[in-house]
Amino acid sequence: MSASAPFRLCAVTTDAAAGGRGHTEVALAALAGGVDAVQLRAPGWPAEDLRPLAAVLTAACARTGAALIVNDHPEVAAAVGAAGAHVGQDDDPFAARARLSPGQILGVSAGDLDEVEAAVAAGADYLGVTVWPTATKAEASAVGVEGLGRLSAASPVPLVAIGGVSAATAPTALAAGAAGVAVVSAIAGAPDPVAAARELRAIVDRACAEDPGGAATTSELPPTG
Amino acid sequence: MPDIETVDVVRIALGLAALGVAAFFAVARIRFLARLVLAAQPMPERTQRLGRRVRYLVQHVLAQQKILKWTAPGILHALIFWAFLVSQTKSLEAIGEIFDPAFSLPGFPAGATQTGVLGFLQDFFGLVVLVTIAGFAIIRLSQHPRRSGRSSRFAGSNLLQGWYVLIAEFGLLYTAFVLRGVREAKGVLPHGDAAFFSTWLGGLFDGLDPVTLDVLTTAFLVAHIGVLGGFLVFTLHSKHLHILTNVFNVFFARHPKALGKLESQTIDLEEMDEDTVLGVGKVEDFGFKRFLDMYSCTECGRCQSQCPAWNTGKPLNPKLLIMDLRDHLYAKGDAILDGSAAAHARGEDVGERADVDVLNAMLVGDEPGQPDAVIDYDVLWSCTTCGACVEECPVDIEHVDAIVDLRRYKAMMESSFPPEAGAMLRNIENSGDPWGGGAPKRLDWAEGLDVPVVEDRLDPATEYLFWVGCAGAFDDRAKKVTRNVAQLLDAAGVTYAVLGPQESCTGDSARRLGMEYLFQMMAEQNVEILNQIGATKIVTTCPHCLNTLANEYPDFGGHFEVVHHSQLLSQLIAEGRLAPHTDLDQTITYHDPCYLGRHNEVYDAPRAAIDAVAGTQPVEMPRSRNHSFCCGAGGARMWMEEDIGKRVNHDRIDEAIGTEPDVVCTACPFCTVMLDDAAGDRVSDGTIGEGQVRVVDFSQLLADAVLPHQGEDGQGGNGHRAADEHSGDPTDAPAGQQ
Repeated sequence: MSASAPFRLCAVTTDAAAGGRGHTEVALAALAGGVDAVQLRAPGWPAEDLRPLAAVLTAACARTGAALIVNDHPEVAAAVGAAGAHVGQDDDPFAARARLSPGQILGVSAGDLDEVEAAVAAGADYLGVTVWPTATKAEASAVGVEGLGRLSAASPVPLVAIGGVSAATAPTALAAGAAGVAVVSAIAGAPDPVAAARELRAIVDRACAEDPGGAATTSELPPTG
Repeated sequence: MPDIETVDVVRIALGLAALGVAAFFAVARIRFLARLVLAAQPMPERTQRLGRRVRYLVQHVLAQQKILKWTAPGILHALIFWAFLVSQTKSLEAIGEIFDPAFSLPGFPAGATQTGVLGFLQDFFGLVVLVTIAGFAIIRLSQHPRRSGRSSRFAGSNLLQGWYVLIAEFGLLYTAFVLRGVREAKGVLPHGDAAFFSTWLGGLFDGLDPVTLDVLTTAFLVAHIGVLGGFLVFTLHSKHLHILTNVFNVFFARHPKALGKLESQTIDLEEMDEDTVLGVGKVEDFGFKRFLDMYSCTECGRCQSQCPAWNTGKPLNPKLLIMDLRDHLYAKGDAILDGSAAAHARGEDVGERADVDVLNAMLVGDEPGQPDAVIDYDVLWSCTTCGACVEECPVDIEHVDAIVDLRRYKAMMESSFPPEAGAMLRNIENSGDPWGGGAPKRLDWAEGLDVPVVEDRLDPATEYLFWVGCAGAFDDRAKKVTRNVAQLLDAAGVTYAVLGPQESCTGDSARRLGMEYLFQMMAEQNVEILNQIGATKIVTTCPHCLNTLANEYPDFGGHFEVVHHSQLLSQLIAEGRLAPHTDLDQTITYHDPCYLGRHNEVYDAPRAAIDAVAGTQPVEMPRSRNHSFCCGAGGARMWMEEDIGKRVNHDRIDEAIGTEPDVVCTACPFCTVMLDDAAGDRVSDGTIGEGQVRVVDFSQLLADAVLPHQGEDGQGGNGHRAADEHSGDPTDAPAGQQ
């Protein structure tokens, strides 16, 4: 794995069918606003429908140097050459790792120390940690700020805070040990998503520069396998 | 009285000085313009197929083919152009005369036949120019913006420059004729009596002493060279530059014309990295042909006279767009050439500069009315990509390609576009069609019909794949057309099949909005399916689908023979396979859809089909065929609000109503929607009576005449025949319909 976070600010896309902005629209606005990663999250899309969209967004991300992370579909990420894939606890992280090529990033959701250990053993490059409960991730157990700190201290790989992250809460998550943040409605649901992404980017940059106890420690972690 | 030797010395000194000053300024400017065009982005395809380019150049520059389309100014221009070529020999003779009073051009010795012929042509065209100058002056006075405001094609043009050209041409002519008269009086005119007018002028100077004649020569030579040099330097700094750059602009033009396929800069998604710029965000991102376009605009205003945006009160004017880009390019030129524009773009400090405002300017605004934007937001997004400007431009400027390149940058790099178009993009991404109908409903139009649907492979015995298109599948009016066409093909014994749920949007609207990502995604999907099923011949009712399938999909590996239903149906009529007979005694006017007409040059097929319905009385609108006026839906305008000026579809329906028709026929589902809505508005405001004018696809007339049981719903554009019509989420309805 890389010692530093694979990304600091990730925009998660939303589905037009669920009343959100479309994936392309969210991704392009977020990229224009300066995010360094986009997670294509299209629950319910079959892989063959997702592939062309993932290919286009991979190209869009490549243009700004950002990473495209495909949610739930490592085989799609592998086929289109995306930066990586993210899988939940319901999916088998070993199988996901096997589907990705060696240079691709694997993110795994983790909510407790056992899950951290299992995900790292499977070859996760970063862990997604739900800090605050949200409507979109109701079933996921939110670990809270203290829990984030505990998992961060125990994890050899960087953590990315997801769930309820906004311009107001991002500095807290970064200070508590997250190496990066992933946001859904803070960008996809903003009236002006480009401006929202730009604002978040500035906040994340400032937090990472100011707070030696937060993101910076991640890069001091010893590299593993 | 000075002696002849002194006069000779003065003449040589002043003549050389005038030449030197002109040459100094001219060379500096030519160097600037040439370096700038070389600094533009390369366009490799424009330097291929040179033989064809030379042929085109001869037709369009030497033979003035395109400019002659506007008869009166065209003939004047052709005459003054040929006169310009001939007059160069007069000016060369004058320059030679500085040194040698008896000078004649190499190959044209005094008294030789060819010298006489040249002398005749010089005098003849000299007189022709006098007439053309008067003609142009009359045109400029009678069409002055002072009198007709924005409807004048010179609105916004540099009017003084136009007058300067005419006055300078007169000055050149006057000084040249005096010089030639004096030469005749001196007995050293090499052309003999064939130069009939100069010979006659010579009589006026008879009897003057040699020194006086020499003083006259000197005075008029220096004046001639002064006017010539001044004119050259003026030309290099003005709209008159086209006389020097148009040869290049026409030579590098897109063939056969800059319509149909969109040839904005190629975007290869596979090869994308952090240095990739999508579209044009800075003027120097344009390809070199775009720079030549800017150099070559003569501000004649033929484009704006045809533009649907400008003619309905919107801020877009293709001429002013090109002029604004040109003025910005010239202002930024030094910074582009010395590298400080690139440094500034990288965020480096470029020190104190006089042109810092130019460096800081946005090329296109993010909202209407931003003063530091070179091109206003509303200018960019008003374009319907109808191509009237490109069709009209006598110097082959490619406005539509430029506009889409600007849109691409805004849409993909900055995610900035009219927000209401977002619904269309979301629907294409999510449902595969702009309406948001979804694949499962793609066959709703066929309810009750026995329509073959392709599963894995198209049966080789099937003649055509019928590409229904999203409008044809989801818009109520267009669904009726789809049904009619399917039944007409059945009636004529043509075998066809449809893709049904496997069909998706071609991506035309997304591409013309600048969203190349989404377009390429749709193109890849559709080409894959079409190749998979083995499609070769495709028929479609939608000119936008036709244009994309036939002209743009070859770039994605899809090579199909695509015909419009007007072409197929008129062919079936000609072959006797469809025999329409009615006693329909109605006046019919046909509206040429931009993407069928100008973009794909299908003008006669729909007219032939309409004519075949016995009893119809065709009547043409004032703006028809390649001069047709857009319905307002192209260029993704279908999906945007239209709240500036008069609605384009209202302008067009008013023109159609002016022909007092019973029926307005179109051949495009988007045109049908726009014009039918506009006709409805004109019923509401009382301009026409209910049912007085119906708007239908031309195929409706054939369906009425050929198919049984059409009577009950054949009379209205809104007959609801198809069962279970889909009506999408109202928020996703096309903005153009609201």
